[in-house]
Amino acid sequence: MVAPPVLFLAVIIVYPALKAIWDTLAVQHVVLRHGGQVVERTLSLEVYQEIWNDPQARQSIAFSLRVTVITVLALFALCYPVAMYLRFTQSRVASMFRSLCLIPLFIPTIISAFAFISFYQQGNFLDVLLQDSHLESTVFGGQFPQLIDNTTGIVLAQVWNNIPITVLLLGAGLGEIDNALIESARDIGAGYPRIFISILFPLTLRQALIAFALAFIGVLGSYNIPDLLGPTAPQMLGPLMDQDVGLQKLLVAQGLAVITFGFAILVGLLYVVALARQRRR
Amino acid sequence: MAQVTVGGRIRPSREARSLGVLLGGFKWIALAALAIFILGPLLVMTIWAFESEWTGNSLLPQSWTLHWWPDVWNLTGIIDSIKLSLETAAVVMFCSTLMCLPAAYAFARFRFFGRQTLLLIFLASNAFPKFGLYISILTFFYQINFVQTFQGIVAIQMVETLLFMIWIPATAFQNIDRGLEEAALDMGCSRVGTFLRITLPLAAPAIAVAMLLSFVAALDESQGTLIVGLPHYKTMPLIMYDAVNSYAQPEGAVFALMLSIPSLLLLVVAQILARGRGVRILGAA
Repeated sequence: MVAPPVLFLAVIIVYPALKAIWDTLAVQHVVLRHGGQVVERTLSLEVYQEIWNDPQARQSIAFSLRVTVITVLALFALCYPVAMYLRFTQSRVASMFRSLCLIPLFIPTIISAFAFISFYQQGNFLDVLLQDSHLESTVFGGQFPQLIDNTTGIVLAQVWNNIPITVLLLGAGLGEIDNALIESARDIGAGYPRIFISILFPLTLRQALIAFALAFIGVLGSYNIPDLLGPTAPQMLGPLMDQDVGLQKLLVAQGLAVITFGFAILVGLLYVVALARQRRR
Repeated sequence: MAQVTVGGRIRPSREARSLGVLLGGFKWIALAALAIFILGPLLVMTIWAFESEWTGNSLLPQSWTLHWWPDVWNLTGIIDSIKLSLETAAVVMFCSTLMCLPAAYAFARFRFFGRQTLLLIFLASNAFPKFGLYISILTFFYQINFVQTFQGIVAIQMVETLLFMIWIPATAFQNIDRGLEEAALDMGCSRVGTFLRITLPLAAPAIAVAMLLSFVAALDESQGTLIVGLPHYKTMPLIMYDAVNSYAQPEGAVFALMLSIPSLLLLVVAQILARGRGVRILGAA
């Protein structure tokens, strides 16, 4: 009974992924043998060497990592306070905000990219709103900055799209913490920062790590938002892979895909290790 | 000092109180900023769909109109893309349901070898970098001639739907009171009859939500369809790529709103169905 989806998973998802790893490590070459042409596989790192030697690819990997790290930091800086507010406030305003935070979950990413352009593009709404304002002259030096076709645009949109999952996960983690624990800490004089560092953060580590992993892997391997909102150079890995496919450089594209798999596995390992260390304590 | 003793009672000190007021005020600013951050882009995009004249430095359009909405239908390829999207989404929904419901039942009810591992693999495949996965699937599709075919698009859209087409019905099957089923069996109902008359109706709302979810997920799927379908097959999300780059902004906004309708419908239906069972999907504490 379980066979159909498992078969689908194996054939359509697992097999191509493994095949990509194999194809890029055991590269096929057309070789002359015994008076005829034969396709042979040789184990080599030439695909990855080609990626490493290409400055555009190297920049793309570095850029992708940079954008991902900034996004994840911004995401957690935003979502932890929001999740804590939702956890510790029981009011109608709080439930309104809980529903508000879930809205991005129901908007497809391309549409969110389009919405971001209509809001943040130079000449569009936010620009007009801030025009000739005190904020614009002091913070932005008199001119609305270019946020679209820019790293900032990617970060803003990625944070926006990841708010629901992160707030849900952190909220679930915070929900498991007993109020009594926090009250007793307050009774002995602990301030809010101390409570966060010593109680809230360690006890929500598992959910925080899951949220981190999902956001990190999601942003690193994303395509829609970097393609529509990001700069033309450097590109993130997603658009670069698409470009290579268009240029018939399928093997390079597969190599880049395997690199994203590698990062995903690293993040997964990080999750396992961090959790194991916490359990041992 | 956070606290001072005044006349025998402990009260917050002046410093603590002013800090409280400052934080309170900051809280409202922060919440307002968050609301603008989340809703702002969507609201502005919606305004674009109805603008007739919007120039220069005004926050709102000078005049409003509905003419973009019928106009959009005249754009090349729109009708075909809507038909194709609905077709693929429907096929994906049916295939997913047929394929995954028995498995969901098995995962929920039977303790078989490798159950946990399989569930974990399904979960992991969803956490994996999607676009990288699609690239490797594309290469495989070249080998089996699935590129730029209807079946190729359906297959790649099903990747999205697999997980929750198993997860949600499985949870629903698990939560059904066995006592009810046993009572039916005791009264002489056959196993199949029990399944059809007790189990399935009780799990139906959750299954309906899962089916709707997979329909919407297939409809909204853009990245896989982009690399497998283009240039021959264009679904609605792929038209959206064009809209961002080359359409007049109002046309893009109208199309974006049209594409959002299924998702919002899903939200409403899910809330209704879930509330009917006394379970809340959104806003759960």
